[in-house]
Amino acid sequence: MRQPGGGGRSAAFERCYAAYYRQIAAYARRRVPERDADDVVAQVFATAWRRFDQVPPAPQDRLWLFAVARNVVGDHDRSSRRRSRLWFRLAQDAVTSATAPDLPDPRREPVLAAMNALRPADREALQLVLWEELSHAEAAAVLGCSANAFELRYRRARYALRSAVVCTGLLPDPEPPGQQVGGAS
Amino acid sequence: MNIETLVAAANPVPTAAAPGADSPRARQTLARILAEPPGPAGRPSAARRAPARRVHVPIAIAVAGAVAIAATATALALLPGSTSGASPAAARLLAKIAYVAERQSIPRVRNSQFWYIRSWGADMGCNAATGTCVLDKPHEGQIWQSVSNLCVTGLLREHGQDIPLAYDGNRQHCPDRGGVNDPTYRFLQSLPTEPHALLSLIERQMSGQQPPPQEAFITIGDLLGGSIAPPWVSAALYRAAALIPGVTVVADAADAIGRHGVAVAMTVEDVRYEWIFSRQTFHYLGERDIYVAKPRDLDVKIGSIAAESAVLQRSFVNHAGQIPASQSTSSG
Repeated sequence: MRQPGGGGRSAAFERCYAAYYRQIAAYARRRVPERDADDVVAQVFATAWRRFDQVPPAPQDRLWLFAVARNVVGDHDRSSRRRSRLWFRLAQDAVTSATAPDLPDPRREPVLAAMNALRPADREALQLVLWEELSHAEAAAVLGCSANAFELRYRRARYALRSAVVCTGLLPDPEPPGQQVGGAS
Repeated sequence: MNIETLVAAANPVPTAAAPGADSPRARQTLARILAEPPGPAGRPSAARRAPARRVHVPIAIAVAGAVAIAATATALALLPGSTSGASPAAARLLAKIAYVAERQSIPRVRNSQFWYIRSWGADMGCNAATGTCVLDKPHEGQIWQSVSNLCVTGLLREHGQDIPLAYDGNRQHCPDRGGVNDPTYRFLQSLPTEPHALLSLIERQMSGQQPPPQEAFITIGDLLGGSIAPPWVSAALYRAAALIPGVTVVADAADAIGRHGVAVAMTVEDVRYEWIFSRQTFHYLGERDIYVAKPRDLDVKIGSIAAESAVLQRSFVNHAGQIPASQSTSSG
């Protein structure tokens, strides 16, 4: 718990804001349409300000912010359900427009399409590790699940995605021998 | 080229491409946030949230000012009566369950073996693409994990796929017998059997975002449904659960295959987690997590199932993928 205080509290909050704004902004932009992303970020930090006494000290504060961001995005997704088709198209547009235009990577679309076909919880496990660059333990903490449960989710996602991507021809080679365990009985 | 590289390359927004705290929009937002006093009830964003529960405020926070605790997944203050342990009815039920668990036969287990757990289950998922929350179709899952070393590749068989569980890349040392979040049988064998000591160890090792009582309950629940513990440790886990404040009894609950029983339960935010036991044998049947309050903006009715499971078989086998011949089931 952070210590309550007057000016110290504002200063500490501003340090936290400066340190993590970009990471939370990127997290939001990866998950909601760009026009909504700033609102998501504002809501995350407003929550942190409101409950700053409960924000753990660094480096755990970063994970706390990711967990709040995850809830805010979840709320956003749920409140978006009535306009879901439109929202999804916009989200796709946002993804497309946010794509670095100087690096058109033909592999990206099939990979994103395959990720979209994953179960949401499995997709999230991959994203936290490979996009947010969290360790497995940190990602488990953000998701509020055990390390074991996270590991299962991550492995399942990786495996399903790999199978899907192999079908596109982007990953022609099978996994090295020894990764597969047979179903012998 | 591996799948991780492809996914990382598909990241639609590299962090460096996102605006920083020095952008005009970020500075405006910061000024707006700091202009508001922290935490009084009635702020628009707090008022929009469902007032799911009133909670007691820890003294340190009360000194800093009244704080309205919103019903998000990340923070809950202490529950009322947090020093009293489980309800009397739950403590009595857990004592019976522990008594039965302690008298199960002790398995003979070799380090080279795997535990095998077959279960049915379903989880609710909220799909961003459709905006809806649906419970999976219940399906079977089978898992094989080394009883002594997480570095040994295990196997998950689910949705018609065999998924290798190769942990070695993430282990800091091998062999690794795990911990409360990723147990092996050998680790569970090593646990203290005095309930206070066991609960204390679990609280030190567990991870997650909930306050300790709730997190401990969820962690123990994961162990009951997802592992095989020696009889004396199973009993100790039940006795440790009896020390957790807020644990209650639900007279009738059904697992993922419709087996009814009596449940030991705890409510965490909007969801009540129920461990279901046979009324006849007091053996563990499965878990059901059920919405007992309507989450804000979530199209889920009270009484909807967030997740359910039923453990059908637990046993030890000689290699991953081996289906045990007998239908032996041990209580967790």
